[in-house]
Amino acid sequence: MLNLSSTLSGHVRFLLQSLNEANADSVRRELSQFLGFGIEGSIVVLQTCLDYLNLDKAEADLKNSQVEAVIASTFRYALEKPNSCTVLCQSLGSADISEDFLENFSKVLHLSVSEKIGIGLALCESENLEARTCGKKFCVAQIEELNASPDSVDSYERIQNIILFLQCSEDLSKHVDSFMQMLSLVQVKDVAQFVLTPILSDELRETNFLRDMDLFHESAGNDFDAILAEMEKEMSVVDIMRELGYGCTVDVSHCKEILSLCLPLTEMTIARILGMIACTHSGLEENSNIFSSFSMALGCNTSSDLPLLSSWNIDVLIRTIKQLAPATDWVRVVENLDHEGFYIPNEAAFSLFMSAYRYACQEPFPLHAICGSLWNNTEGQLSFLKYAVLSPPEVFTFVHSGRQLVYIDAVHGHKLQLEDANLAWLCLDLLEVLCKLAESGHARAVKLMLEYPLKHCPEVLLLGMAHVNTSYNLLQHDVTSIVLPMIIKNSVGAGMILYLWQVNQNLLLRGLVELLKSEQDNITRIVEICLELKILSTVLEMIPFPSSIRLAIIASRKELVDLEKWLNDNLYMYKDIFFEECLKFLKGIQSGRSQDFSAKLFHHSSAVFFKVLKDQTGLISSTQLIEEMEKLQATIMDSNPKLQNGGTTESSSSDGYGDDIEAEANSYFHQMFSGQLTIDAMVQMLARFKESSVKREQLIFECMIANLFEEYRFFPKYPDRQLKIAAVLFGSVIKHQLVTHLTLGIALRGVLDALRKPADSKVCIII
Amino acid sequence: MDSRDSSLLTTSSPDGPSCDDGGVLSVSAALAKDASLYFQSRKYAECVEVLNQLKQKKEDDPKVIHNIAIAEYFRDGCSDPKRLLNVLNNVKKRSEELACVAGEQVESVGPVGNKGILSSKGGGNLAHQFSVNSRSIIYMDEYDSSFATLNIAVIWFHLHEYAKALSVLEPLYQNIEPIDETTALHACLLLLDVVLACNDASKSADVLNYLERAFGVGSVSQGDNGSLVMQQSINLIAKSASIPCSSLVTDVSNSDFAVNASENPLSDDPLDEMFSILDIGGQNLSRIAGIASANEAPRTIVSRSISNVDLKLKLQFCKVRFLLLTRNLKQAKREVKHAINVGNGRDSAMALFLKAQLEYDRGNHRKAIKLLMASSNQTEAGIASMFNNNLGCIYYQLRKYHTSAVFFSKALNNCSSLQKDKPLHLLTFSQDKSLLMIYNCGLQYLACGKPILAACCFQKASLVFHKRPLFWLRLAECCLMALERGLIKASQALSDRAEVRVNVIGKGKWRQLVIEDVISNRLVDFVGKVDLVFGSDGQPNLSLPLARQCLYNAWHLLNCSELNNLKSGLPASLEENESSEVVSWKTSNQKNLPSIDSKASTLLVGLGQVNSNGNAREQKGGSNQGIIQNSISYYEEICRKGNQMIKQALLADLAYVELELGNPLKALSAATSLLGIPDCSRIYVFLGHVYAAEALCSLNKPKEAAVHLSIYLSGDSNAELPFGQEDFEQWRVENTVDCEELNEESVTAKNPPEDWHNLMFLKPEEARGTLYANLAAMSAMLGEFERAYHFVTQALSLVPNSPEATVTAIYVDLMLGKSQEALAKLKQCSRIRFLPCSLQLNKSS
Repeated sequence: MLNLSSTLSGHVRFLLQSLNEANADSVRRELSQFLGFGIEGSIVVLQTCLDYLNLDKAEADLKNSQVEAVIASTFRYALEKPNSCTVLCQSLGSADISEDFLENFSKVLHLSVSEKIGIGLALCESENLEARTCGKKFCVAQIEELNASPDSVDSYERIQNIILFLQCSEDLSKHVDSFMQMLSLVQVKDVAQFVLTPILSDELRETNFLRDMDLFHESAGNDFDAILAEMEKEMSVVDIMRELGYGCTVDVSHCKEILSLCLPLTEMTIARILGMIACTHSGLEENSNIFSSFSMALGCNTSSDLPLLSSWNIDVLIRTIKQLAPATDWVRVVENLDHEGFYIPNEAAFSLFMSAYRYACQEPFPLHAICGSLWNNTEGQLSFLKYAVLSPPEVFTFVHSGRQLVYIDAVHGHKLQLEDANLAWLCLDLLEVLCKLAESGHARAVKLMLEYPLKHCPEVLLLGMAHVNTSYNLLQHDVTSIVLPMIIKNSVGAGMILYLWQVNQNLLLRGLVELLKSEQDNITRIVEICLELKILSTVLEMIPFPSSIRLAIIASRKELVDLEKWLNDNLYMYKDIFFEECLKFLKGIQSGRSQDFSAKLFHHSSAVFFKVLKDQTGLISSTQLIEEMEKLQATIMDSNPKLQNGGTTESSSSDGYGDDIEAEANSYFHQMFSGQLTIDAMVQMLARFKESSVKREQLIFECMIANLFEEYRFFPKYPDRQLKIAAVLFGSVIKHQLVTHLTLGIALRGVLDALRKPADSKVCIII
Repeated sequence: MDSRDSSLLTTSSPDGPSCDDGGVLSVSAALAKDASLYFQSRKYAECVEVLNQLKQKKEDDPKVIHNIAIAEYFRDGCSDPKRLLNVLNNVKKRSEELACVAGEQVESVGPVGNKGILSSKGGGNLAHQFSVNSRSIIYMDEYDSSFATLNIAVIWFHLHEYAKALSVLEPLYQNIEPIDETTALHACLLLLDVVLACNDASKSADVLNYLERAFGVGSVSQGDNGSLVMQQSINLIAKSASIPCSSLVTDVSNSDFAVNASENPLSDDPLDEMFSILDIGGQNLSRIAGIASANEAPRTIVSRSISNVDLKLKLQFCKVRFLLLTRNLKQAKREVKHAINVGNGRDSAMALFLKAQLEYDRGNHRKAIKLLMASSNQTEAGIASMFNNNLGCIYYQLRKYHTSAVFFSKALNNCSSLQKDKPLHLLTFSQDKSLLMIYNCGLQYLACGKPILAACCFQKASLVFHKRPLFWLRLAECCLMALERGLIKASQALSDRAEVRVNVIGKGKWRQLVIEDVISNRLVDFVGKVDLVFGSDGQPNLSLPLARQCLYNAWHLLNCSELNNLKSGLPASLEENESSEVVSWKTSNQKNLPSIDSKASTLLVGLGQVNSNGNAREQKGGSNQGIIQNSISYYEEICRKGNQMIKQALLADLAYVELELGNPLKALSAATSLLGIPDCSRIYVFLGHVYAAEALCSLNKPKEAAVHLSIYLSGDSNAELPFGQEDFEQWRVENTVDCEELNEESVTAKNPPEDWHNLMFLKPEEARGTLYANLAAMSAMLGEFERAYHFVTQALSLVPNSPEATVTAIYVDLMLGKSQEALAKLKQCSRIRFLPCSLQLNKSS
């Protein structure tokens, strides 16, 4: 963090030094602006000013009156601030405070008596005992001076402070009277200032009192009525109903009495009433007594025994409202639900609310009011939506929503179970408003709401979400990362991917990038789908380099992409940047950061990389990158003898496994890890290969065993499931005597290694 | 009622005796009689005319001037109390001068004269005789300034200036012996009303005692002197009409929400109430009335026995009021019953009202409502306003704040119609309780969370309430609540600060999150002058500096009211001095409790306004001395505790306000004072520590701040609960002890399950969470990130939605290099709002 104080004080000093007539005003403004930075800034500014002043005086040359004027106004400004006490104490704290100093100081700055008192009072609060005594003395001296030659005091706050200061100690209280007298001389007309009333002397007050009394009664008419009008405006029939309880709706005549307390009944009021009754549909304290005594006190004839209600009587309420306000526009009522305090606590409240609405109005519920835009009362909106989406269609339905997800080809053949539901998740407005709610702090609650669709119709949800763009896309990404893997695996997923591609490429790509970081079979599947949709090259272009490099490698395995050409093209286009990314990728492989078997796959591509990179060094401007590349190549060659000779792709890997053999071996592993091939089958197959007369099968066997052992060092990084599989395989291989001699030794050493490690390390699972 | 008229008659008579020569005497006497007749028949203009003629004959006679002033005052519809006060003050001064001169003349005859005066008290007849016989003595009597004094006091009383009235009456009471019985009785009764209005228990007891002794109701020597009884009875009736109206005033004002139980059917004719001035204005010569019109005698005699009972009843009522004031409810109940027996059906309305207040105080609100309804007819505006106000009070106590608003506004409506219907006069002032009701409204709006309107109300009520510490505390609370709700102009709502705004900048992989530093933006940026409390638009200009000034006022008043003005206080608390250097720290997390405070202090709303009262005086002997003494000491205890609670709330508020204003030095001293209060509630102790810690951090002393916070640490890293549920209970109990039956809870325990206190204050667990967050922020400042991480994890588990805790957690995560975790926290917290980019950044960033 930058050291504020030194920077600021340097700047202030600079400002003061460069001060001249032309910029005096702007400097003054800037300094006062610094004082707004809180006490930290203020103290630094004042201290610097003070130092500068002292310095200036010491040098005794260039008596710059401008500087003094600016500094004086800065101090004055600080003095007016409500935190002047702390700021002054702390900034004067370092100086040697004496009365002389203060006297001098205020003379230089041409402070008025009142301002001097202000400084004195501030010092009285200092933590430094000396400064405090000094401040006190200074203060008393100034007050005496003020009493001797009356002068106005510039703020009532200061008057108050002075009086309180004088009254707080015995020996000073003698000054109080003369100060009061002084006040009465100076500003008789204003002394009646409201906040000063309790501390003024009785004499001063008495005259004021009578005057105020006159004023009060002169202005009483309109003033009083103003307050009354205000009170009537503030009277809230909703809160009154809440307080009086269910009794309010006992019958129409009583209900009318209550509601007529504040006519006219606007849509806003009705919305509030509906919100309130939904909220309090049960559990209100039983107080029919209170209600009856209330209506009695209002002078209504009440039969003393009103029936006890256990909830609101909606029938009575709506009838009364219709009688009192027959022209009510119920759509506007719903639009007014966005008010402070609206909240639907539970399902019962929701259905009560909806039944009230249906009772009042036959129109379909105005969806735009609840999911057209974000409310001010987001919590209330969320509470409403929460129950709305779960309601059966006879209570609430989104079927008449204007913006619905149109799913034609995309989800054909994939029947969505929406027939009996309220079509909430097809409503794009709803999804949009949910996304916005999630970003305004309700992420957790909204995610809870999404659990149901995620379980029952995840694809629909994702397709819908694709239509929504918000500033952070928080919810959309979450949904994508959950649903996209499902779609990818789905046999009919391609159609949906195409739909997403058309609607929201960004969202899809982001999801794909995330997927590319995970398992390899996903990548393979992605490549297949992209191929099917003919978007592979576009996708490769659009996703970030680390992902696109991986994708390109996999695609090249399937001979869908010419890796070398692709690398060349990109290097040509992006030069250093791409070069760097390639290096990063290679480093990642080398350090074994790629989590699964695809690492193996990538290993074999590194040769292509180095070849291309070496060929294209001419394009690269940074020698550093080239050096790095060379260093990297050297280390990788060391660790992987396969690549040692020649560094060409073609010359088969040192152990003599051909690319095709390697690929087949890997494919078996993939089948095993993805569960398509059981371990038993695997072991049997291995046994068969070992004894096989076909040379190729023997080679495959050798390759697989070698790979297995080579993978040993990556075991700690395996996910649990894969690790278990690998462990069982490892054990089975030994058990079935598939390995002998030298290789058995390697295998057993691996097991021993694992045993030596702490018990909780993952590798132990092997045993 | 007739008897009252008879006392009016006396208005004119003073001149009579004061003239030597028979001719003048008779002329004057005739004029005087005319004047008094006119006065009786309320022909004030004619009365003034006659009196003016009289004045020509008797230049300079203070009594004539006095009577003219009063008659004129009535003639003008009581519109100008100021002028009347002026005249009366002059008359008083003049009388004193004359008496002084006369006194010198008589000095030689002194003892005799005194005796004469004493005996003259016995009755009008005697006085008259004396006045004929001995001029000098008459002068003494004549120029007795007590009438003028009494009338001055009455006017102040009606203007609700009780302190002023008290200061006028006190000297009179101190020197009550030489004053004639009637005046003395009136003075005493008025004084009793005044001190009850001032909630001054010990003085009330004192006066009550004296009254019982001196005007001994029951078996005391009224038989000795027939004329005395007669006098008494005349005035008593007058008084019995007047007192109710004054007690009406008293009770309303008596506490925030004490039911003013004293609406009295007797006073439903407004003219009767005028009498409270009139009877005193006129009474100076009532004793001569007996002579002047001998035919009055039978009537007064008739009314004698009744009036004796009335006095007794009146005293009994006062006693009940005293007992209610001191919360001696058991005894009060007994005495009310007694009063009903004594009254034997008379003045039952008053009794019912007192009973209603009793039930109100005991928390039987339903019963109180019934009694209220039974006791009044609500057709007359004055009574109706009172009635509505009382209902408002009751519903307020039932926590039906909005319902109470209905009644308060009705009450004010009644007042307003009262003001408009009639010409303005003193009666309007005295019957006009609108200021008191407006204060009630203010409280109710504060409870409803409408600070601006509440402040409007309080400002109006300040005329009457400005001497009460609680009043200023309330006003400060208005400011704090306005701050919390973002209603203060040019400042940012605390609710905004309760949200962390995250700006999303850039797209794709260049996307960045920028957290706005909202929380640390303090409200320092007030321009200096905040004097204009109420802006030109009439809306109160609520601000933090105003809150500070209000709190200082409250503090000042509180200190003044403490007789044993211990030198505890703001200045004193600074005694511990530490040197300091100035760099302040940057994280804002200490400010975790922005909203607690105003909430905390609103706890006090339910607390009845307790007036402090230090000066207990020696009791004069009396029959039920024990009870009274007990009541007083109990009441004093209540007051002391009440003041303690006010003080706690006040200092906590003050510390908070100073922190908000960026004034940590003063905040620290307020917090230290708060911690220094003996038996301070643990809740406030917690606030004190937290505020002190923050202040110290702002003063760049994190180590000392750590001391404050680590008080709650047991072991190295576990925080205790700063206060427990039982502290709320305790607070509640204290609360109920304090204004014992003012609060519902003590009697009827059927509260809604979640107590409102808990809704207003941090729950203990939340407080602990806050504490953890503060500890985390502090550790982070000291660079101990591992420790901070531990604390902040705890904090988030307790207060997951606290933006401060979240921001601290994110900071700590970032410092520890866990940016993904920080991101996850951002997504989890429900106070985070992602905003589209609003900042303009230049390319380089």
